This record gives sequence, structure tokens and C-alpha cells, in this order.
Amino acid sequence: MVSKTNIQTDFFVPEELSEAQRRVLGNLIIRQIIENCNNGIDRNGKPFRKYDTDYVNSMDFQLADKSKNEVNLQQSGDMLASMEIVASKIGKITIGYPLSSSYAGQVEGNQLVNGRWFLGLPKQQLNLLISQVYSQTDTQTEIAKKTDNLVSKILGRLL
Amino acid sequence: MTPEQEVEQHLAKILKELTDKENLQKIGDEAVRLIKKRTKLGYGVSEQNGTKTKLKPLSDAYKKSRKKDDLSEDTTANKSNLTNSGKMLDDLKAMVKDSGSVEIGFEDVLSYMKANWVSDDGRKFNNLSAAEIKQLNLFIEDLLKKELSIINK
Repeated sequence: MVSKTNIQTDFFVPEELSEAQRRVLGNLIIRQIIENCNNGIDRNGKPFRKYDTDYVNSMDFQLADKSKNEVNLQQSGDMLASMEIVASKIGKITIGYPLSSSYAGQVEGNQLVNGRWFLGLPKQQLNLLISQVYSQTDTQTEIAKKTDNLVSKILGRLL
Repeated sequence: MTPEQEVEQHLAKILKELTDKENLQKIGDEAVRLIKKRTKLGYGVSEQNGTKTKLKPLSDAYKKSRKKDDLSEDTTANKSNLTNSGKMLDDLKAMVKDSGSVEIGFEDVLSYMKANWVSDDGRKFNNLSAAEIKQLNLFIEDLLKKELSIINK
């Protein structure tokens, strides 16, 4: 049975942030976690443990165009792309995966079993993102909020 | 100009930039890359926005006959990943239409027929899963950020 604590992380943020600002911040946090994974960095800013030799020598590893020296937790890329804002309350944003997510087991396996804890950010990075949200003008916050709608419109050209 | 009008103006400009032929081709190519990679890893998606599932295993007779084939290095005789020579998946392309939409399909008739045949045989692959659509979302957001930074300069 997957445990919530292994697939979700709470980020404590200033209480004066509005819902719109928390949404912007939540998305920035998700993007930063993915960027950290792309750089092989865990929630504490430390390098991920190397991949096992069996996995490196497997056909799946080759088919996914992975490199043994770049531990980025991405084979298909689906797991990281499915990360979401699970909850947003005054002073707190929860990032990760709902218990019902089809990636819950994979996330727990990566974190708990393989010791690659990726859900989280070093405090300095979080503070930087918070200051980025504070420095945004209302117009920029409004644009950031509406870009979701824009992305859907563009995707509509394809689907 | 009111802040609301300013936002709308910004967004209209970004939408125009992002739906030009060059950007739509980039987005389509990324979708094709995701479909090819997942299929080679042995997963299909039966409907748009669905969940990926393992492709149906190969029959014993077909596995036996594949042992004599000159297979692509991206497969083995026993692996069900819609790859033999690799040509069918290689031929999957994104094509930008004059109407401003993007179609993912085959220009090569034989590959098109093969893809239809494997789909009818229970190995549907030419759809994007919900997670792949999220990956495309991230890809488009990156393009959007680039356009935003250009417009904000």
C-alpha cells in the first residue's frame, strides 16, 4: 500500500500569497523539481544514486536513449510530467501525486526503495521561487494564470 | 489600456506566434517522438488521452519466424514493440496542414496500411496518453516562455 508521505511533499509558503500566486508558485516548484531531475539532483541538492548495472545494460535503457551518467528519473518521461499541485491552502502547497495516480507505486519505488527522493527543493531554491512570485506584477500573474488556457488552445490544433 | 486589455493583447500575440507553421511543426515532432519512444518500449494507447498499456504479446509462431528476420537493433524476436525493420515507426510523421492543424500519420502507403493492420489486430499505438499530453503541455509551456521573453523585451 502506497503511503501519502512517500508521494507528496508539503511546501510551506508565506500566508499572504493569494490563491492565484500559490498556483503560479506551485507550477514553478514543479518545473524546478523537473529541472533538478534533469540535472540529476535530489530534493536536498545532492546527486542521485547511480542506476543499477542491470538497468543500464537493458534494452529499455537503450530504447529510452538514456545515459548511464545522467540519472534523471525519466524513461518515458510520464512520471515527472504527471506531477501536480495536489492541494493549495493558505500558507501551504502540496506537490506530488494523488494516491489514485497510476504513477504512485513508481514514485514510491523511486523514492523509498531506490533512495532517489526527488519530491522537494533545497530551501534556497524555494525562497528564490517565492521572491520571483512576489516580484511579478499583477499583469504577469494574470498572464501566467491564463497560459494554461492558451496551452490547451494550442494542443487543440493537434488532438 | 486597462490591465485586462493588456493581458488579452499579450496572449493574442503569443497565440499567433506559437501557432505559426514552424512552432506547430516542433510541437507535432515532439508528439511523434513521444509516440515512437513509448511504442518501442512496448506500450500502446488505445484512445486519445487514455492510459498506456503493454502491447499484446507476439504469437509463438511469429516469434519463431522473427528469429530468421534481420531485425532492427531496437527489438528482439520475442519483444512486442511494433518493430521489425523499424520502418513503420520511422515513417510516422507530423504534418502541418494549411488549416493550422497538425496531423500525425504516414505519408508512405505501406506503412499506413501496416499501422492500420496492427491497430485492428489489437495493438493501437497512434494516440497520445494523458501523461504524454502532459509532457506536450510542458513542451508548449517552454515554447511559450521563449515567446514571452521575446515579447517582454
